[in-house]
Amino acid sequence: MKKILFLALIAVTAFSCRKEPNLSQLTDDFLVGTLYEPSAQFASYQTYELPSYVAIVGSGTTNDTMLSTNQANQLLNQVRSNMNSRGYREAGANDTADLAMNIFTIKTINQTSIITPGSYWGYPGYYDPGYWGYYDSYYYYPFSYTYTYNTGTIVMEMVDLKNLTLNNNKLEIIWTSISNGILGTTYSNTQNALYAIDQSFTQSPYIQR
Amino acid sequence: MKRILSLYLLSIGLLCSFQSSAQTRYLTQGLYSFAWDITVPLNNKDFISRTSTYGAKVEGRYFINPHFSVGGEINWSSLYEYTPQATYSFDQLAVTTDLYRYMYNLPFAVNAHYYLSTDQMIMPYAGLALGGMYSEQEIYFNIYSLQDNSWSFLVRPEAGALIKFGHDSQAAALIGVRYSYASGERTEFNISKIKTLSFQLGIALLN
Repeated sequence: MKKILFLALIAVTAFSCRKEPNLSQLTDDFLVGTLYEPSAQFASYQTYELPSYVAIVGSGTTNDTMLSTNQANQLLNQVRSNMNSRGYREAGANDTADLAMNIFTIKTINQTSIITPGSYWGYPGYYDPGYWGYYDSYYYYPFSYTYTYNTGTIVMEMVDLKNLTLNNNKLEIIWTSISNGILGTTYSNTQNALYAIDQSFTQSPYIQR
Repeated sequence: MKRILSLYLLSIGLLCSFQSSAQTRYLTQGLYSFAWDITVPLNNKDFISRTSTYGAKVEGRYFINPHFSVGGEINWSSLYEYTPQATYSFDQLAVTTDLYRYMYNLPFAVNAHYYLSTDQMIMPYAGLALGGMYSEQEIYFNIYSLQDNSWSFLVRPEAGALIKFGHDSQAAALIGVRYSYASGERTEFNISKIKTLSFQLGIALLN
C-alpha cells in the first residue's frame, strides 16, 4: 500500500511538471505585422503626405491625444526616410498628394481588446478624412483582419488619395502595419518603435515606386 | 548404513531447500518503475529539433513467468525551441516576431517484456508497448499563442536493463532506450506521425 502511495505521489509530481518555456523574453521585441491590398499598384503613386503629429488612440495612460513632439518627430522622420528611399516624394504644402499616412499609437493599461479595422475611426486624435482635406469622404478597408491590441501598439495606414473618385469617394487603405510592444517615453522604447517602422517597410518590398 | 542414508537424504533436502530459497530470492514477481526520460525528435524537425530533458515515465510490470512480464505505462515529455526574430509571410500578410514552438506529448500504453534472466544482478530486457498518445502543439509569439493537438496510435519497441543494487536488494536501477512511433494525423503546424528516440534512467522497485 505504501509503495502504491509512493508511486502515486511520484506520478502526480511528474505530471504536474509540464514544462512550459519562459515566455517573458518574447515581449522584448516588437511584433511587426503588415497587410496590403493585392489590387493596389504601389508603383503608380508618386507623392505622399505625413500628419504633423502622432495620435494616441484608445483608453490611455494619460488624456493626451498625441505623442510628445520629440518622440512623434522621430517616428515621422523614420517613415519619411523609408518612403523617400522607396522612391516616393513628400508633397509640398500646396501640392495634392497621392498617398497619406495615418500613424497612431494605442496605449492601454493592463488590458487587451480585440479590434477590427476601422473600429478606432472617430476616436479623438484619429485623422478624420477632413484632416487630409477630404471632408465628404470616409475611410474604407478593402481587406479585413482581427487583432488583439495591447499596451503600446503602433499602427500605420497608407491611404489612397489618388484614386478617390475611382473609389466612389472612399479613402481606401491599401497597406497597414501593426507593431506591438511597449511604447513608453524612454529611449529604448522609442528605438523599438523606430525599428518597428523600419521592419514594416523591410517586410513590404512591394512598396516601391 | 541407515545413518549414512538419512544424512544423505537430509543433506539433499537441505540443499534443495537452499536452492529453492536462492531461486525465489532472485525471481521477481513484479516491479514498479519511475524514470527520467530524455527525448530526441526524429522527424517534424522544422517544428522542434531540440532534445528535451523534461520528461518522465511511470510503469508497472507483472511477471507471468521468469522471462516474460506484462504491464502498463504512462509518460510525458515537454519539447520546446526558441526561434529568434524572423519574418513569416502568408499571402498578403507578413509577420516579424520571435517565437517559441512547444510540444507536449502524453503517451500511455500496455507493454510486454522479455528478459534473458531474472535471477542475476543485471537483467537485460527487450519489449514492445502499444497504446495511444495525446500530443499538444503550441506556438507562442508576443502575447499570442496558436494551438492544435492530435491523438495517435502508439507503437514503441524498447531495450534496456534492470541492475539490482545488491543480491537481496528490492530496488534496481533502470536504463533503457526506446523508439516511438505515433500515427497522428497532420495538425495545423504540419506535424504528423511523430517519431522519437528516448533514453530512460530511473529506479525500479521489485517485489
